[in-house]
Amino acid sequence: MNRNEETDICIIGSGAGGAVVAYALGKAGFSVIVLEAGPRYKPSDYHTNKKKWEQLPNPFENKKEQKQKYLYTYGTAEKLDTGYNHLKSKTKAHGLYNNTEWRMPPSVKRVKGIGGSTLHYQAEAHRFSPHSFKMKSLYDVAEDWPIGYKDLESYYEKIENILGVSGFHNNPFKPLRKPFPNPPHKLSCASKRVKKGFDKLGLHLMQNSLNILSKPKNGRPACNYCNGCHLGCKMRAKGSMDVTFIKEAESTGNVEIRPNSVVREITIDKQGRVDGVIFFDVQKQERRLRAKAVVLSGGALESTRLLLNSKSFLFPDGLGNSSGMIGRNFMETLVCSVTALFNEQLNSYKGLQIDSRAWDFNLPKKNKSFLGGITFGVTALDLLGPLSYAKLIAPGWGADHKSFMKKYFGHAVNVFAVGDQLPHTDNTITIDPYVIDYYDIPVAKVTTRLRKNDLEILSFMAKKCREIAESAGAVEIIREFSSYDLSLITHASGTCRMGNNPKKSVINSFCQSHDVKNLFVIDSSCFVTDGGGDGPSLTIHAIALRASEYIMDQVQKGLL
Amino acid sequence: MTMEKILKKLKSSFMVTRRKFLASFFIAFLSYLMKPVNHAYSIFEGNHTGVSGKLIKGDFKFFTSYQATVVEEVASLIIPSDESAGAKEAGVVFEIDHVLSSTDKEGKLYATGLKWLDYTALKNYKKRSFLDLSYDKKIEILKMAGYGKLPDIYDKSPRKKTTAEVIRIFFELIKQHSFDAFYTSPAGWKFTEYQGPPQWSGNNDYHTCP
Repeated sequence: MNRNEETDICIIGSGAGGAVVAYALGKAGFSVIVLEAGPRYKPSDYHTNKKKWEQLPNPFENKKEQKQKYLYTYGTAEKLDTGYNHLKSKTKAHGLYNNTEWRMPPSVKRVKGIGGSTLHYQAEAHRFSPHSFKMKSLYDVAEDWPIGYKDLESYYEKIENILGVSGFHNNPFKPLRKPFPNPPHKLSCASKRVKKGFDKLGLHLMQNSLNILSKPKNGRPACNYCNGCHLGCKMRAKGSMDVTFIKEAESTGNVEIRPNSVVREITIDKQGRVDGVIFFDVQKQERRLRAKAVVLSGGALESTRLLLNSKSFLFPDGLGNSSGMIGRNFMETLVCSVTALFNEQLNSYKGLQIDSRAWDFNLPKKNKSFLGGITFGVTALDLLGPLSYAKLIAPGWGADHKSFMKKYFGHAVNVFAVGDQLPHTDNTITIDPYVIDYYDIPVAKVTTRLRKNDLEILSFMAKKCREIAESAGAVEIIREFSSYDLSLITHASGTCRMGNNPKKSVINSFCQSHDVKNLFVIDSSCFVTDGGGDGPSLTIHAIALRASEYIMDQVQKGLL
Repeated sequence: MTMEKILKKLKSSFMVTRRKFLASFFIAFLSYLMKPVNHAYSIFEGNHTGVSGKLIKGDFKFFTSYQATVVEEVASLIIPSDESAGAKEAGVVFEIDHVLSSTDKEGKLYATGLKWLDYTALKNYKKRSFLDLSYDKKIEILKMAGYGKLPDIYDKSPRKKTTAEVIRIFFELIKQHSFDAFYTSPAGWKFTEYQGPPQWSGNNDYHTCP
């Protein structure tokens, strides 16, 4: 440890949570240092304008890093419940994705880099519905949040205005609200076609609210509908954190962003208060940073790992873990999609990643065989060019292959659904004591299992997606995918649950640790339930802004 | 460095990731599989002067002229030319040559696979080269390769199963490479009516149906 530095606030992670805190506290005049494990990406380097763009690897998957070390490990494999084998993921052209009787080990999608997972997200900007905060009192499942929709409403609005969210405000399934700061994006040709299916079943497919500009703002242009949101937005029309909150935060002059800085441990002083962090800088040199308060925003996986790895005499089970709840109640989101083929040319590869959604089932129905919210939507997802069609859905080779490509390119659309996975204390993130990463830090171990309720939700979603595609007039369903046998975790949450009871939760409603007053965990790990299919990012932003105001208030009162 | 750290270092350098493990296993497996196959064909280092048609000329880094001609033939059976361009017009073989010249793993598989094509042409159809076969016979051979089903001449061979697996992987590879090269070239875009990379032009007409 060659240098001691000091700052007011140290933020670990620059994604959906950390970026907002950096912006709010930097604006209020605090000196802030953000330690980000990944590099800084330049939008102009994204390869969506290159001839071989479909073949080039996703810029956010750091191949070099993956070769060097483990990112995480997983617990014992889960045996599939054969009663639900109809949910197995398959394509007509290539057969089953998973031939075994075991569920594929979880793969958690996350991005290291300035902007975090928002670099790669599809920019859905959803407010959680009021009932999503009250699952215990309304349905007697999971747990209630210590805050409700009313507590977050004004923060949702502030965030939407700062980002310039585009959306349709007359959504009958959501509370009344003011119009969005930007008008909604028009429905794509493919969505309009599939909407016929939704209409026939009495469902309501409508324009999605997105953190993608429909009108220019602050030097960023409006979207040109290239559909490459997850490959990095070259236009900067998608409001990933690096071009919005981080940029604003840096312009205050009080915030320093340090890329490629990996935190090993959060340290505490004799009074049991956090006094700083130990981290590795770009040269892999161990460094010390002292801070008056630490904000942890690494996402459900990394935040949990860092807390559990920060052991001390006072906290032998991990920092702030007197409740033993850190790492418990891990929630993956349940996903399912069907790829439908239509006779008409829909140019389905054009547009926005997810331009339409239906919230009909967002409110759980009590008479169903399961409990939990679901939203449906339409997307091209990975079918974005001829190469992806050829590799993923076109049959075989030779003349048949070529005639399929000629006839059906641009005709395939995915109808998908995202559903609640109710929290369960046995779905966990723990530390794998046998595996260390490139920095010699023990890695996280993910253990997650599908329960009866989850399987029923998946079953319902798969059936409904098929029904929608068929009543929209699809010629054929050529691919089905569900997280029954493949486990692709995009919205990980819930491992440092917020709550009023220090014995049952890790942090309070302002994301402040019950045990350590100057430690905050501000990211998706504070979620109590996962929102019934709504995207988590806007809720993370809102919670972060609310927590930032609390931090300012506490500092003013001299409590922090 | 403390003792503890040194031990940790040692541990991490010996640590094999799942990916690494699978990859090394796969390569070891392939080279094991290929050994008998390569041995069988080593007697068949053919002299290809006088095969039907002309050999393509080009500045190939990996292929010989003859190999390049066979690869082009296979690629154009995978993506045939009809009223629109196929693998031949898109110059797929040049792209594959470029890919292979930068890796050494896949090259060996190609060499073996190409020898197998000629070997089968000779033993099964009494032709000196894959190129001398009729269209139907060529398709027949590729189908065998794709399904991993070998012709009757292999019935007595104890290596039938491993050979079939190697050939199947070879065919899968050449198929993937042909798709990669063809569908990222203007020829592949033209016949599917695709406009090319998403940026910078974008698709402002996305909401109108054609």
